[in-house]
Amino acid sequence: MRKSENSGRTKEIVIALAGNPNAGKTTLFNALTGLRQKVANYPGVTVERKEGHWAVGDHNALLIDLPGLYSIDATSLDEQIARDVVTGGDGSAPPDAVVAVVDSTNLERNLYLVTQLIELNVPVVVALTMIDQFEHQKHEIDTEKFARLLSVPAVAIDAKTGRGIDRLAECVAQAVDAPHAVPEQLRFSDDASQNSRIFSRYNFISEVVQESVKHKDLEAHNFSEKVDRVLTHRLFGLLILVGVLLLVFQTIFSWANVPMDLLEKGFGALGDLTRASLPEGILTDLIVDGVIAGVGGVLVFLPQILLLFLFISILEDSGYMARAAFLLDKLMSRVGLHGKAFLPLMSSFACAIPGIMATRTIENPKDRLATILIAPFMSCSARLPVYTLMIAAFFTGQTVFGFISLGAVLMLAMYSLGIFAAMIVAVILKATLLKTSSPPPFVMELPPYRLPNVRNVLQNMFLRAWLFLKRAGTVILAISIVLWALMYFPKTTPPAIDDAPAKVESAESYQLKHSYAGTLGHAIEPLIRPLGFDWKIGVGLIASFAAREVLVSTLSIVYNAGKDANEESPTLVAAIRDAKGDDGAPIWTPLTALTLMVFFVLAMQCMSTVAIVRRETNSWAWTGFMVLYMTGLAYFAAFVTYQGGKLLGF
Amino acid sequence: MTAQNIIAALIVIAAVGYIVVTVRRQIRSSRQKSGCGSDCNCGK
Repeated sequence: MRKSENSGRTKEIVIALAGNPNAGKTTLFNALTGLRQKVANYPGVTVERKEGHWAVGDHNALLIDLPGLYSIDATSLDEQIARDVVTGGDGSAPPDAVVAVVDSTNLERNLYLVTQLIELNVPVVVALTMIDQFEHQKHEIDTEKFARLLSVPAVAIDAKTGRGIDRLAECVAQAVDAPHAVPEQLRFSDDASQNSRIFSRYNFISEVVQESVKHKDLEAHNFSEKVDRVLTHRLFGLLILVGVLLLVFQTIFSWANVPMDLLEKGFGALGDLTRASLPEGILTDLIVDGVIAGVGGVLVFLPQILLLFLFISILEDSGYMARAAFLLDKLMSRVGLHGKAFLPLMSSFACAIPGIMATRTIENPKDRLATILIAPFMSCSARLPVYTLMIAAFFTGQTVFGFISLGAVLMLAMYSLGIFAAMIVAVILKATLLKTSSPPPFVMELPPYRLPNVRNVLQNMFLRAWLFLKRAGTVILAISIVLWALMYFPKTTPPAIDDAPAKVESAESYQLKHSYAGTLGHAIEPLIRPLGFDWKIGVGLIASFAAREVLVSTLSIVYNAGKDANEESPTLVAAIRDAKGDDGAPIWTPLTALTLMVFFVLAMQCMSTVAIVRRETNSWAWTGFMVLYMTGLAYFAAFVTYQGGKLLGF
Repeated sequence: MTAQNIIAALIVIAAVGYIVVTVRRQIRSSRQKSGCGSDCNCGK
C-alpha cells in the first residue's frame, strides 16, 4: 500500500482509472478531479498519462487515467502499460484501488476487463457510466445484486448531473480498507489454458448480466434475439446472405441500366459534337478517341458504383453487416485466420488499400501478413466496371430459375470466387510459410438493429463516388492519353493493292495493328491465346496492371480508334459483341467474357496496392511473392475456365 | 508542325510526366516504414 500520512488526518493514496475506449473515462476523470489534471508520459514510452487529485473520504487520492483498453492480456503496448501500472510491474507500487469504468450500454464487452482486474486481486470499484442512455434504452440494473455477484462495489454514475459521484468516493474509500474476494468462477489453476479462461470469464459475465439486468421493453429485445437466431444461423443465415446479395446485384443491374445508357449515349454525342466542331487533326483525335472515349468509358459505370455503395451503406448502418461478419467469421477461423482479419477483408471490398492498412490491429505478424496477402482477392469497386461490361455484353436478359437475372448470379459468383480463393490461399499459407498456433477466439459485438441514417448512407455513397471520379480524372485520364498515343503512332497506311481482294482492311484497323500498342499486343498474344484472348485484349490486360478499370478505357479506345469510319457500333458493349478477328470469327464469346472476369477476380492489377503492401510488409520479397502468386493463379484459373468451357462445348 | 500537333504533343508529355511522378511517389512512400498508430501491434 502506498499510503503516507500527509497532514495528520489525510492520507495520500493512488487510484487508477481503467476502462474500454469510449466508456466515458475522460468525462468521469474530469468530473472527479474538477479538470485539475496534468499530462505526463509513462516512463520509457510516449503514451500519455493524465493525473489529477480527488478527495476520497479522508484520503487525498492521486487519480491516474490508464490508456483505454479492452483487456490486460498484454498483447499490445497500451495493454502492457496498463497491466504494469495495475500490478506494479513497472517498478512502482500497485495502486490502492482501481475504478473500473464500465459503459452500461455495452455491459458484456466492458465487463471482460473488469473480470481480469478482479482476478488480479486489487481492490476494484465499478463505475457504471452512460446510465442515462442505458435507462433510455428501457433497461434497468439492480446495482446491489450486480455488485454482490461481481464481489466488488458498483455505482451507477451520471458524470453530467453528478449522480453517484459521492457514492463512488465512499465505495473507493471502503474498498481501499477492505479488499474483495475473487469469485469462484474467476479462480484459475496455473495450467488453465488461455481459451478456457476466456470462456469462463464470458460465462461469468453472462450470468451476472442475466441476473441483474432487466429489459423493460422485453418485446423489442426478444424480437431482436429471434431475428438474430435466424440471421446468424449457420445454414439459414448463409442462405439469407446469398439472397440479400443477389437482390442487391439484381437491383444494381436493373436500376443502373437507364442512367448508364444515357451516360454512354451522352459521351458518344459529346465525341461526335467535338469532332464536328474542331478541325481535323491529331488534337481532335486525341480529345475524341483518347480523352472522351477513355475517361467516358469508365465514367459510364458511375451509377453502378453509386448504387453498390448505397446498398453497402444501408446494410452496414442497419446492423445487418455485423451479422454477415459473424457468419463469415466462423469460416475464417476454420481456415486459421484471426477474427480481427474480418474487418480488413471487409474493407477490401471497397478498396484493398484501407483494408491492408486496417490489418495493423492484428497482433501476430504472421496472421497479419497472411491477411495482407489475401486482401486483394476481395472484389474491389475497380473490378465492378469490368464485371458489368462483360455481363452487359453477353449475359443480359437471361435468367436463372426464370426470375433471378444471370448477371446477378455471375456477379455473386465472382465475389464468391474471390472469397473462396482467399480462404484456400489462407489455408495453404497458414499450414506452410506462415504457420502459427491456433488464433485466439475473437469476440464480436452485434449492434442493435436500427433504421439506416440517411445522412450517413448518402455521405458514404458520395465519398466513394468522389474517389471514383477523382481516379477517372487523374490516373485514368493520363493512362488513356498515353495509350491513345501508343495506338496512334507510328503513323502507317495500308499498302495499295491493285487487284480488288475479297477483304480489304480499313486504314484505321491497319494503323491500330501496326502501332506501338498493337506491336506490344501481338508480342504477348501467344501467351494469352490459350485463354481465348486476342492482341487487343492483351493491350487492355497490360494497361490494366496499373489499375483494373483501365481495361474498360483501353477497350473503349481500341474499339473507337480501330473503328471504320462507316462502321456503326454506337456503344462499347455493341463494339465488343461485333468485334471480329482476321478470319471473320467473333473475338468475344460468352466464354471469353467469363474467362476475363475470372482473370480479373484473381490477378494482382493495382499499382497502388502493390505500393501499400510493400510499405506495410516492409519487404519487396513478400510484395513480389504476392504479385507473382496472384497473377499465376489468375492465369491458371482463366486457362482452366476457357479450355474447360471449350471442352464442354461452350 | 501545326499548333494542333504541338498542343497534342504537350498533352501527351504531361500525361507521361504525371504517370512517372505518380509511380515515383508511390515507390517512395512504399519505402517508408508503416506509420503505426497507438492501435498498431505490427512490431515496427
